[in-house]
Amino acid sequence: MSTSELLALQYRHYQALLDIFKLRPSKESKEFGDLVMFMAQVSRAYPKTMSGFAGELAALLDGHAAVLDGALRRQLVGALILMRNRGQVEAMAVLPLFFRLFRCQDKALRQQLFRHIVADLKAANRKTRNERLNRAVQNFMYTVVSDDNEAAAKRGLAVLTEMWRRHVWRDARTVNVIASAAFHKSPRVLLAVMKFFLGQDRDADEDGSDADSDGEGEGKKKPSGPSKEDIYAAYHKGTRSSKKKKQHKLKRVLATVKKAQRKAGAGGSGAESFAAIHLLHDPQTFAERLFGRLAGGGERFETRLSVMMVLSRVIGTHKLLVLNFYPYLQKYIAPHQRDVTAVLAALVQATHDLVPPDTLAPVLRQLVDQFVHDKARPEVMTVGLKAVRELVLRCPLIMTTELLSDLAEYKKFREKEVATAARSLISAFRDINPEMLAKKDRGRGADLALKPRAYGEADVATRVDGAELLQRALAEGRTGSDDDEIDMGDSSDAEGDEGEDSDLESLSGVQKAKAKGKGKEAATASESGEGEDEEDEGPSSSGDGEGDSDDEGEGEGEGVSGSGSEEDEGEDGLEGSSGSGSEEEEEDEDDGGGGRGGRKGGKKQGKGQQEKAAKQQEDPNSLAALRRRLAEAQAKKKRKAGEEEPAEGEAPAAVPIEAERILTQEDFERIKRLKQKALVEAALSKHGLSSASSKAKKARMLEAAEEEAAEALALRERLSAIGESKVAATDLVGKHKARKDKAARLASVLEGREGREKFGARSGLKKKKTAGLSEREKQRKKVMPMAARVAQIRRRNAAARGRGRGKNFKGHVRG
Amino acid sequence: MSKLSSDVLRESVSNVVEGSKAKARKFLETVELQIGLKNYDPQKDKRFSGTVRLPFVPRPRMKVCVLGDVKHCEQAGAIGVDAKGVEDLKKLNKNKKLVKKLAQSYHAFLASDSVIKQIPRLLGPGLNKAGKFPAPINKNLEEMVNDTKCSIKFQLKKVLCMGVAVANVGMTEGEIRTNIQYAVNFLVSLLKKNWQNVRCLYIKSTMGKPIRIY
Repeated sequence: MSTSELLALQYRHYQALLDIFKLRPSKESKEFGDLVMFMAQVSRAYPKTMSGFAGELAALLDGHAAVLDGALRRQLVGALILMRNRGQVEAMAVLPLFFRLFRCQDKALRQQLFRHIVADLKAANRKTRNERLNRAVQNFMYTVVSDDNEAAAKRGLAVLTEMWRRHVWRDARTVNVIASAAFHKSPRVLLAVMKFFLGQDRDADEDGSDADSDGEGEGKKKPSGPSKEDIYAAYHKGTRSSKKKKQHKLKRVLATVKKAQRKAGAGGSGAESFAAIHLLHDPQTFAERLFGRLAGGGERFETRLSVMMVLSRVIGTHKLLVLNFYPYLQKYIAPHQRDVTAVLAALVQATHDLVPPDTLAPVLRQLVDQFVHDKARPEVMTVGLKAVRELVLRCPLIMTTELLSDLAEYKKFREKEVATAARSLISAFRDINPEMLAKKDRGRGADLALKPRAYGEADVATRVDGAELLQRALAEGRTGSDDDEIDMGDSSDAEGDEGEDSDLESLSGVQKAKAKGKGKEAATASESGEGEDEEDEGPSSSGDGEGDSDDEGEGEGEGVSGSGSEEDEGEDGLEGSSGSGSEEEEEDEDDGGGGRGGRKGGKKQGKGQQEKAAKQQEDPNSLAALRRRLAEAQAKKKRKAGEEEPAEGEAPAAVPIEAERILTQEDFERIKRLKQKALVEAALSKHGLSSASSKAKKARMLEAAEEEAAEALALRERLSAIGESKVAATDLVGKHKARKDKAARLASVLEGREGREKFGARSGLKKKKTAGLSEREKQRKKVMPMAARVAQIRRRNAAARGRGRGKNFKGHVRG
Repeated sequence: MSKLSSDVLRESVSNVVEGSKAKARKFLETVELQIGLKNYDPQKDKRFSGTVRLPFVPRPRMKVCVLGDVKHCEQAGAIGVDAKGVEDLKKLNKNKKLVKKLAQSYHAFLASDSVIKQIPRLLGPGLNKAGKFPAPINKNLEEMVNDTKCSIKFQLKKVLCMGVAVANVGMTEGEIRTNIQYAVNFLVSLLKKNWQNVRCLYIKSTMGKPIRIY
């Protein structure tokens, strides 16, 4: 008998058994299972005889899955998987069946199926993406995740999230299938969906995979790349088999390194879920339905909380309007509420600038009333204040002056955390809307022109950000390398330096006398000027702008002319000194002049420019303001002298540089540097560079200013993407520093001492030198006859007296 | 390093204009700027968006609607811009279809300060969904309308390419060039690594051939 005949016999036997089995499917039958397994193993060799085999198995499983014996069912599924792995069955022929089998009450079976499905789909997408299969499966998944059976839906969802996590399915369709599962009636499925969108499962899984690699013995605490020697050895040393081993090892090491790099590069903090939320097709409808479910009630608190978190993320990222969500959250805002920080985080995330302020006002009121009052515990107050701060960063319009002044009162609260939180609120408002703060809270050099955008207003740029700086720099013919230097007035030319300083002093003396009145004048002048600008902001006619600028210039002139004579004097002095060669200072003046010119340039200039100019006007005592005045006076004098108008800054400002030519990469880099410089200078002028400050102090201030500029940049960066960022509930809780014990305190003291010079007077430190005595010390120690000593002292005293005598010296006075 | 020289730009702009003249269409063709980006992961990096006001109006036929109080409605009527009062909006009754229709029939909306705060309550999320949430009127209405017509919006969605209308063939070549330069400069300034993020730039008229300029 040939093998094919044997097989035919066996096949007939199988069919007979199958018929018997179908009569009583719940009976266990080891013989039948083994036979099926055998047939599955050999079926590849006899495709013709056994063409219907897989179909029969599938039909059997489909029809009697619920009643089949557990072990037999697993065997049958194993047979199908075997055939699928060998490519004898199409994926789409068995996948629906496998998903249906998730309904069975058999954990081992479900695990087997889950592993197979994931592996199968992954294999199908290994070389190239199998788009046809993916689409078919994903469309089918809609029915799977809406399955009435909770376990089946959950398993289907698990497959989807697993595919997402493994970067196999990272498309919108997957996300939307998952999103559709949020409306499954089982709260567990809902919770699973919410966890997917919150990216919680991801963190846990990553920890798991780390543990795995540790188990392999390959994982290191800190993966470092293989050395050159290792690589060489893997390909050149030893026998073939040992090389193979080494190569495998090398591959694994490289993989771990790459993984670590990827993880470090991703930065964490919800980047993943952020991507998923962005892929939603119709976020508004999704959010509304989700809110409908949330408001319907009936879920456990944990579920509700995670729904709130997801909903708020969706609202925040897409700037949706789900207005009923805020009153809903309001009822959870109470200090005794469980997980109230998470609720507050949700509130913060759901806030964006398109939410009408009157919707948020009651919520804010509730928050403040519940959390921030004198009777509340300090931790509670801290949470409240921090939440308020985050809210106003996202939607500044909800704050009122009275409320802010109330909250600002807490800056001197006896508990440090509360005071810190209140101060952070104040400092946030210094950047958002300083005018709302009380005068003493505004800080030095507050920029009163800074206003939050009106409701619904979009930021329309009129120019490339920072292009005016570049244009000015080009007009002055500065080279690129100049941009890095920040002019501190401590140029190498000490004479010029002092000259300017004294000028500034004389000026500031005058100005301090009438600082207040003048400040007001300047402010009003600037306001009126701005008003004009806005009125004249027409689409055309540069002539208009110039007329405008002239008016303004004169107005300014009047403002300054009160102290005109002194300034002119100062001017002379300055010109004389700067003639002696400090170029940087001249440049700086030109900067100021350019600023004016830029503003005069009129409507094509960015609003930022206007603001900056206005800012400079706000604090008349700052150095920048003084310099500007000097420059103005200079310009005025020039005009009087020779009528050589227009000033240098004006001509190029008329045509924006970005309309003339394409900016190159270098230009953009330079703009970046110039912007940084402008920021640092603004910070410096805010602190007020006093003329008396020493070089070291100036350097310190420069450092501080740079830091401040960096902070300002970081804040700007943060504000630009604030809607999309995740808010961690723990960030809203105040940080309570535990008191250190003595040993810890001492340790920190010692640590601070490391690498710094000892404190104390310079002269004292000098004494501890290692070399011999100086000439002076030797002189002092020299043993001399008494007469010589007395003569020496006389000479010294006489010389000292002589130094003190002025031009009134009338000759020696004895005694 | 920018490979986009002004000569290339000049040449391609004149090509575009000639192309549209060679086969004149029955409407005013716009000139579009198409941008391909690189080294940018829209799933990870921040999606940028920015609005810029160009020197010349790229789409003169852009339809703007004023949702205003009585005063603004009158002004709008005077300068020939469509206007709707609060009563008209209330009539829509938050009906999604009507709001969608309203959103689709205009390119942009402007609203008075007093009205704009009520918009979410009156109209629901429809306008927001269409990306046409009104801008507040805070200066002269005519200027605002003009500004709106002048401004273009760059917004990166899920894919690494975008297209914006920056000019039309009815403008002079110099004007087209200025607008294109302005738009390109602004776009590049938005990108994190500026020119290193730009893969390609094309310009084309609505019915014309695309011409690669970078």
